[in-house]
Amino acid sequence: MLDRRQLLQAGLLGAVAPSFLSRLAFGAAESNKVLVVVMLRGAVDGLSVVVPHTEDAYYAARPTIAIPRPDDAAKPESERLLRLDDRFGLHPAMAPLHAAFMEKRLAFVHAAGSPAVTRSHFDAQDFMESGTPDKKSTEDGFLNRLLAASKGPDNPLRAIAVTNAMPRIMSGDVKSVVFTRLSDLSFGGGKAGIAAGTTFEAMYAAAVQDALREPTGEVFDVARKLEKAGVTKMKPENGAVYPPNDAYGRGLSEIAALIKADVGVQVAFTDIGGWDTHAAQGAGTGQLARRLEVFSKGLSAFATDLGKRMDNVVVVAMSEFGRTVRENGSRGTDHGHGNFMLVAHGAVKGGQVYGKWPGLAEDQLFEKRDLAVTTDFRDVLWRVAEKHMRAARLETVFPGFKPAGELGFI
Amino acid sequence: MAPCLLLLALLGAESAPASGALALTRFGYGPRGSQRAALERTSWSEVIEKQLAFERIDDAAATALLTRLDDVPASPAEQIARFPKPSMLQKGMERMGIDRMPVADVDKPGELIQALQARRVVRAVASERQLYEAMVEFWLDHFNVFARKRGVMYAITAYEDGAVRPHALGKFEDLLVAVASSSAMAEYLDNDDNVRPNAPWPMQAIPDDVDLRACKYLPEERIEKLTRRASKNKPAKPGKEPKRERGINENYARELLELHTLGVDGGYTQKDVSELARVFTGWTVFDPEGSLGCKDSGRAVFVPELHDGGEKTVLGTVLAGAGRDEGLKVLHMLAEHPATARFIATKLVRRFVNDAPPAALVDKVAARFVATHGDLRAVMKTLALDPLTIAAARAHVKVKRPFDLVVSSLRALDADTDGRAVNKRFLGTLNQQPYAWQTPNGYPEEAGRWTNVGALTQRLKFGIALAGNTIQGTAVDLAKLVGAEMAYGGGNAPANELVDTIAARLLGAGVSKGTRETIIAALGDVTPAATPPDGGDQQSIRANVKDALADKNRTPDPRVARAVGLLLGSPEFQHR
Repeated sequence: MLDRRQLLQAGLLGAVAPSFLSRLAFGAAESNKVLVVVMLRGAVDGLSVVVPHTEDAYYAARPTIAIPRPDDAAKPESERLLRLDDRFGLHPAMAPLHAAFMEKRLAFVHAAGSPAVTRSHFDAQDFMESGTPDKKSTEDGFLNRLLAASKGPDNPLRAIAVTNAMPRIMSGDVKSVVFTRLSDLSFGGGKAGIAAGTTFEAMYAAAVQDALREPTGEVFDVARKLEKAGVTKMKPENGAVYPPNDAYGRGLSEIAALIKADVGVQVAFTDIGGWDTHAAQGAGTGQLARRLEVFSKGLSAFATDLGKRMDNVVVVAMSEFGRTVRENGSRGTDHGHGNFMLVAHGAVKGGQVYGKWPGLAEDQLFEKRDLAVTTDFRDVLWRVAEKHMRAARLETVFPGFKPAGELGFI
Repeated sequence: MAPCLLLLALLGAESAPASGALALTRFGYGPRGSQRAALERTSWSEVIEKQLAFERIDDAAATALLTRLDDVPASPAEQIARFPKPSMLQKGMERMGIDRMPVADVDKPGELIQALQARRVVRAVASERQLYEAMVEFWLDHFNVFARKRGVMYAITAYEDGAVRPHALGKFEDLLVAVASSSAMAEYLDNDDNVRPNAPWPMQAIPDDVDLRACKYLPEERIEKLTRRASKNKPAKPGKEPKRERGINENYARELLELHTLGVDGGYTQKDVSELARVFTGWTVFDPEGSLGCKDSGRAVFVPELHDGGEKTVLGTVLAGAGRDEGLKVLHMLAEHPATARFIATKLVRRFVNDAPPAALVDKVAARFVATHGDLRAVMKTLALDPLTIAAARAHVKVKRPFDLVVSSLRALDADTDGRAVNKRFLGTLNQQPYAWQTPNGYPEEAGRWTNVGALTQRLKFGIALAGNTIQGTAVDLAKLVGAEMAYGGGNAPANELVDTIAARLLGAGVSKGTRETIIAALGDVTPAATPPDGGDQQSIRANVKDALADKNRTPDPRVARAVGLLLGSPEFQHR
């Protein structure tokens, strides 16, 4: 039987090879399920995204930045909420995702978040990514533990992160591939580039005790695989248009390319910043609306690009915490607590806003200022891991956590 | 893993004393190639002592170079005038009732940011005050600001030169106060918008010392009105109450506690954050993005009318009615707080010693911080001369961050650089351009955050590009590096001699057998420059060298560039 290297050398892999063969060659996952996690870093103002449009307390707390009701005739339609159900409306800049919600492919869980009360971006992100709120000693990220608990071969391309650095959520014993741009993985430069690459490979292989040995060793292995699979030449399909000149849009398009190339991706991660709207966040239009438009256009293009493959892909989007219910002194919002989570595609039962809504009256707020958390973020992720990824030993993915009853979204 | 390496280093410590070259690699961006041999013969402590007394190091050459390259004006107002934001220009022109720009002599704001970034590269490469430059980088991470937020870009020269540099090895409290009083930080963390509830609008509360004459985009009749209102300092008329309420913004207050002083576990509460935000009401910036085009646009100011005069309690201390002095009192309290000493000590040890800071060393450094009331020079002396620090340096447990890799490579090759393409092309793809980190925690320190597969490829590519002299605005003289005979000797130098000569310049004795042999073998694939026609005796080689030196277009033996590129990409050169 041919091994992977022989297949590669024989040029049997790549776009022309049948996908079962290339999957076999890369040591394919037993399952073709993919989980894509998007982190909205900086605390997105969930009360501007999935908006309780029947609550007067919402409009009272936010004189200049509330998103107008779906039927507010005094405001242009383009600035009004898109109706989700009798209680909630979606920010108009999220229009690209509204269709997916109406087609029952996308759902929200509201008033979700972490039991940790910290309002530090960095601690809160850390707790969410480690999957262990209030425990700083956890060394790895929950996506890494999820891979350990899911079946799959020893293939660094199982786990992809398109970020500027190794994200906490992905770090751990299971190998992963992290890059900012797919093109970063190749040397270029023709013959001289290949020669240099070969020498670097030998040099790092000789550096037995070096911390850089392992990641560097992977560079060459991964670069060769991707080149053979023709990933860098892949174009968006089905007329998908990603947000231009944006790292997040490019990241999603590259994740899609890797999924389409059948190189064995099981978990992918990327992030998008620009949510820390302490001042002049805007309402139906403005600073936050512009970010939401990029966010939703990106996800929407991703689903279009992957087409039918989305049946095997679940997307989860989350942010470290929400923002204050009351607008602050500079038409913005400060650090808060509860927030929404987005779950979409795969076997997600879309078209609903899940979770127990705690209300926005003064006595219903967390510490009299923030949306309370009624769903632990791990409850959402636990069900995705269990039902979509079919992971075993979930107690190792979220140590010390006992899930509440079914939320019913998947 | 890292602590294990440290232990190994302690057990197997070499008998030769740690060198000055190593000290400069750990507490700076490494020696220039041309300085290395001398620094190898100098002791660690001699270099540290000399570097700590940075004022006595002659840095005229670096200053002259910066002056020559840098055509960016110093003041925020001048920068706004030359690199205006189109939206602000529009506002200003509307106010003046003009529809065509009076002067076409402006550049894009992005050009300013690139110039500021390039300037940081050039300074770090050119300065002989290496430890001082490393401290500047440390503080610019600790007190991070992001150039692309609002008017921050116009405030950066004043921030770096006026707030950070004067105190980088001075007193921590002075540094903290200078940062708190800067336009850059006020805008970056929204404190310019942090005002007492129902405060008047900025244009109704202009401090007396702001010069409103000669504002490009302020009609004279409005200047009259504004000046009068300001000098009387009276609140807005009842009929002219602001449409919406202005008030507290707690962004700066939270990060001041979490990231600048006590640390997230430093023992403060949400209540402390909210009260502290009230203390800093009125610490604002006049016309931050320059829509008025005044001489004082972008200047940090304290406006009593915007300050909340009520009683506040921060960390148990009650403050009231003291205006700006309340903030200074809190900053003093925070600078003297033991949690601050510990937090800063931990970060310094992580930066200069080990990603996993040894507790014993943190204790020592923190104690020095407390004892000297945050005298940074004394603190750094304790840190830099500690045996644990030196042992860690010998074990090379720290991986260079991209900025360090780029700057140390340029220094090792004695390169001339304007910093432009290096910053745009390489620090861009390596994700560490100065002033480009968006969140207030600054660029991460730990190696694991920087050594993903994509980033490593980019590092290796940089070394190849630099050695190949293909970076615009940056030039390396490889003949100077290896000597004219080796460079132009027609390929007569044996590969091992060539590699050893270059390695000595770049890494001293620190090249492993594996790296050395791999590179020597790789050079076998590179065709050396043509051998002189008559066979290559000493005389003809000398003639060849002479011709080559006379011919400016003559390129050196291609094996030199290949070996340099590979060595810059070697595991050894990635470490500090």
